[in-house]
Amino acid sequence: MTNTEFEQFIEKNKDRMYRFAFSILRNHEDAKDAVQEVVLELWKKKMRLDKSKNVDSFCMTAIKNYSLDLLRKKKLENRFITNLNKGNTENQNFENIDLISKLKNELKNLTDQQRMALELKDFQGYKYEEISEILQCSVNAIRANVSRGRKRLYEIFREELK
Amino acid sequence: MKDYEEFQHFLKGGSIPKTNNEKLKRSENEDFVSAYTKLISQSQNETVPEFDAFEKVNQKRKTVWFYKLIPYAAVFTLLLIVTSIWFFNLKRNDNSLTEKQQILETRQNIEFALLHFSKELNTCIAKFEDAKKMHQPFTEMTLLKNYEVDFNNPMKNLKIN
Repeated sequence: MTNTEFEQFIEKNKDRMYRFAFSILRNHEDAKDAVQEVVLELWKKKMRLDKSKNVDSFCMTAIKNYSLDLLRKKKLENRFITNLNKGNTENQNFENIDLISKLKNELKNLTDQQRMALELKDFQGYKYEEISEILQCSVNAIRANVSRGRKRLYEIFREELK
Repeated sequence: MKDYEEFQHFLKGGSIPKTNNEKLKRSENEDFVSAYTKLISQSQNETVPEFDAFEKVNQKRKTVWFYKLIPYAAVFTLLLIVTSIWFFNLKRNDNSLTEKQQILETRQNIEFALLHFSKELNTCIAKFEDAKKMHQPFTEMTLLKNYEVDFNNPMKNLKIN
């Protein structure tokens, strides 16, 4: 892949990469950092990137791995917990916020695997096979995570309606 | 019934069912699907903050450029050092040559001065001997001090450390 091709590819996909990183990290700075780090890593390997292979999946897998690594770091884990608490507080404080916002908040409380699967399937429109390639899991596992995530959101939604 | 099956299929990971927003009485399931669909479209329409994805790449490029420059700078510095040493040696050789010349000159001057001094001394001793032979009184002999010594001695302007 030449420099120009690489730059065009990144410009085209950077928003998608950012959204996916943000769905895992839930922090603008970290998501931005993840995209920049992954772009740097890809830039180093750009000559070896084969256009015939799925570069898009490769990028998203790199984003996933980097973001999960970041999350594993203690410091970020703490921030993660703080963000979660912040989200819960917001939920408790604003009982009258609309159902969509509540769903959005609850989305944050899903497990990483469920959230990533939902983000890629429903929000980014990937196919199960592609998600399987990105998350390096079987299609059945992805399908199960999507299903569990949706059911969890539905349960919360029903409770909210009562 | 059809809607229920469709919804169950959705919950199991199937495609999102289409909702009819114009219905007055909607089921819980439809409300959920509707809210979920709106959430998806909201998220998709959310603007991503502006940032430069190539920021770190550009930093890396600069660093790489800098590291590529180091060998050239090292070669240039080495050349500079070698040239300086060469010029320094050249100058030192010149200086040692000058020093040798100066020493030779000084030696010649000293020899000349000694010769001149010995001539003067011989003349003085000869006059003294003559005076002694003629039994001149001591007072006469003190006249010797009136002897005009040639003070144009080349040694007097010579600097000897």
